[in-house]
Amino acid sequence: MTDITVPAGLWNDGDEAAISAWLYADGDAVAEGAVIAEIMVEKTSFELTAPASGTLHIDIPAETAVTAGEVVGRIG
Amino acid sequence: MLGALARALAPDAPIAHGNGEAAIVEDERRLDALLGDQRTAEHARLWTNNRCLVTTRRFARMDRFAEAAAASSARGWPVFVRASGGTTVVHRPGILNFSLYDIAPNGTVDINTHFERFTRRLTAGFAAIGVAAETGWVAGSYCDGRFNIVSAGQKIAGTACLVRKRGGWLGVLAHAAISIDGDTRADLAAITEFERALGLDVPYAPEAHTTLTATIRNPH
Repeated sequence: MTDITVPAGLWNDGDEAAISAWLYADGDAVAEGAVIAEIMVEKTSFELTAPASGTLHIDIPAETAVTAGEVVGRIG
Repeated sequence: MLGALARALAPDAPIAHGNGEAAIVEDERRLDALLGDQRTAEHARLWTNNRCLVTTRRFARMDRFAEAAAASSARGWPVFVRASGGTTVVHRPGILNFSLYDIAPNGTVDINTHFERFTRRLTAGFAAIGVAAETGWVAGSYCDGRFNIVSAGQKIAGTACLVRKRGGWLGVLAHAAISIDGDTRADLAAITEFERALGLDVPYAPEAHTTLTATIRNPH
């Protein structure tokens, strides 16, 4: 399994970040490098890309607050 | 006025008129092309578009999206999806879009600093044509945010960003939609109807918005 991690260092620690959308469903096959989700911080969309090819397992659903470094899903 | 603002924002960028979805996708195409070069770069684009609503990927995944978009299109407001943040906005010929693409090594970008630099460029552009503007929230405006460009308490431009990573590089697309002229009440009505059809009911206020033309005609 490869963790999908929220990137660190792109916004201030106090800023509220949330997964605004998963662009694939839980259980979908994804290819390494594909944009699989977006994280919204105010009006900036940060794209999350698949760190590996395989089956997407979503741990944190859309519309949920997240923090830098948090694991939000896995690819296996 | 439009030409003077354009020259102040990006003197080397001509104003191109786009055609709906193709003009929106062009922003991502340019960002990807610059990211592909794998070197520090900045590029500006000035453009207008045909009349349409532009919403987010989050809204596009809502259950009622297809139905709401079809109904909006039937009213003369086709709906397209962008990758940057925020909520639904309007494109039309009276709105000048300013896209600024920056490519930098991963680890060197702080989005707040980036956003502030972008909005300073916008307020300096307005100042160059004699319009005092600042940044801030405007209650009741569509796609509200603290990096709105505001003149005398009314929103005159909205901003949003997209951050895309490729290898060791980050591409940042900062975008502003500047209301030059036209009917902002009609804009708001189109957004309100579309978002209500999605199941949202945001209390927008027509007086929250203005245009550059109105601001110059009626200076505060």
